[in-house]
Amino acid sequence: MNVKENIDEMDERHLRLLVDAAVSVLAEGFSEEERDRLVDLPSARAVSELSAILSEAGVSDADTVAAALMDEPVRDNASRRMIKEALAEPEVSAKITAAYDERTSMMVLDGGIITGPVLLAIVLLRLKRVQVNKKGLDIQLQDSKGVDALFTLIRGARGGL
Amino acid sequence: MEHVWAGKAVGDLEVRAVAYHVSGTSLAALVVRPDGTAQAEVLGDIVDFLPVIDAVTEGLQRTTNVARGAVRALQDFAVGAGRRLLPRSIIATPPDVVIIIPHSVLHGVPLHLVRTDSGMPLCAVTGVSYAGSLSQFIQCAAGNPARSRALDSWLLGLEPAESARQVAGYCADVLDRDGTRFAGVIEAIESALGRPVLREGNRSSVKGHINPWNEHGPRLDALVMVAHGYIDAEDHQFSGLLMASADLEIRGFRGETFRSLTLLEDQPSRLYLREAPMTMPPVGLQIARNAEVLSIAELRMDALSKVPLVALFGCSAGWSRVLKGDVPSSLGETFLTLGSSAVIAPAWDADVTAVAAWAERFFYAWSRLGWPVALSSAFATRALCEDSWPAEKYGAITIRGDWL
Repeated sequence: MNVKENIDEMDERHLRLLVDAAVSVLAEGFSEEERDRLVDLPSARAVSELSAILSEAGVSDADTVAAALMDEPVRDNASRRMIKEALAEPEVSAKITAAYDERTSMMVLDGGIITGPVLLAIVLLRLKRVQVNKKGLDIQLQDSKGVDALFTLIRGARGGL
Repeated sequence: MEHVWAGKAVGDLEVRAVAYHVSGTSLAALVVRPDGTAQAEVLGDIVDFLPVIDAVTEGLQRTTNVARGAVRALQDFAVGAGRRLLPRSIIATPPDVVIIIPHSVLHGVPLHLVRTDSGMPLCAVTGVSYAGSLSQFIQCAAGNPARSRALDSWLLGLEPAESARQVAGYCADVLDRDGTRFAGVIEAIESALGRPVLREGNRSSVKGHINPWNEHGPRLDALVMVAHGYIDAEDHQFSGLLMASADLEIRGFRGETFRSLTLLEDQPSRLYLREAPMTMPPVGLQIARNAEVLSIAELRMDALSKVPLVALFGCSAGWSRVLKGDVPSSLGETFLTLGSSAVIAPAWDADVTAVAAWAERFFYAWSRLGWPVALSSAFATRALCEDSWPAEKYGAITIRGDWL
């Protein structure tokens, strides 16, 4: 399936599964303990962690931006835009697409992790450089340009905060 | 094709039961032979094992990691601490069949995936079956029609014969209107059997999927259900499989499930009873068809299963939780309680592609080669291992109850 082309038509469940897949792939840049810690974060803690990262990056309304990612329909629109960012790199895109295909093959009813969009924002902001090599992923978004781009995306998804 | 069991008689197979005992301080295993002789082995201090058990069981709850074959804790467990959880004799020279009877914290631990000295997972070289307790195993074995065969003349061949097994199938992907991926599992089984699976997707009652087979239908050797699994995190009794409700219209009622009773044997009049499901799909789930949950609680209330083998191909249908005493409870175990001799069920979230690949090989060995259930499972698992499937996927599928 061409995820990139179909992302705007995806229903909520498939979008959540795609977010899960993207978080799983992008978080390969972290240690295993950190990956597990992130996935198990309760929603309030995840929002507060994202808020701290945004504050550190100089975002004045960090709390509002972070909390917006838990709200419907902001989270879906923001998720789509964040994933499009991640899919811009062909090799990352291939890995995320493969992970998504594997995830949708599971005979389970769940709709993914509820904190998925927040986690996706966290991993995108914490990673360094988007690059794939034999050892895995190496992603960079932590320059000011990347941060600006991300919270602009979130704000834009909410229609302005 | 060569195989270590080719030409052997079932009566000559080396069978062992491994019964665990967890005390406040230690973990011990009793290796029991069919003649009743047993050897006890203390495996170590229980506190040393707890972190490992927690890590692997929690790791297998992360669906995305399972889907990607990336549960690191499972990989570590299989070659590391997991090996200390099995008696040395089982690891060094695996018998043909092992019945594992866990205790306490060991319920749900994937002991079947531990690597033996040969480097292969135990379940790929040995027929492994789990039993919640010794009494459950005895009950399953006592009702197993396969045990009426002469085991010494039951030879394990490699020449496929025409299947005489009668298998009924039910398939519902309520999340997908297309549903072809789930139907692919049934098609894979049909390919293995060389004959069609009896399809009964339009029964009017959830329990109607089970009881009518016993009461009025043909004698079945196996019942296969392919559906989404559902775990109710708050009350495990309402966990089960998501079945498609029949869109029926009977006497003005539409979309309800019905059970019909004949009022008088010699008269055509029938009484239709509305049968509301005990639990509905989770709120907020976007489903493509009317659906209801075939739950543990509902089956326990009013169902019997005389089908010897039941395959529940749905996520976590074999994921058990101890609700009282030391008795694990899952949809799979419920079928054993209802009278089936053996159940095939994923112990964690399963991948439909892996299930189809496994099921095709299993049903080939069980139906065309006439192998016992647990050996057919090992046959299928070994094939997936050799095809480089990750252990997270083939290892989800477990056998419970009698191995024969």
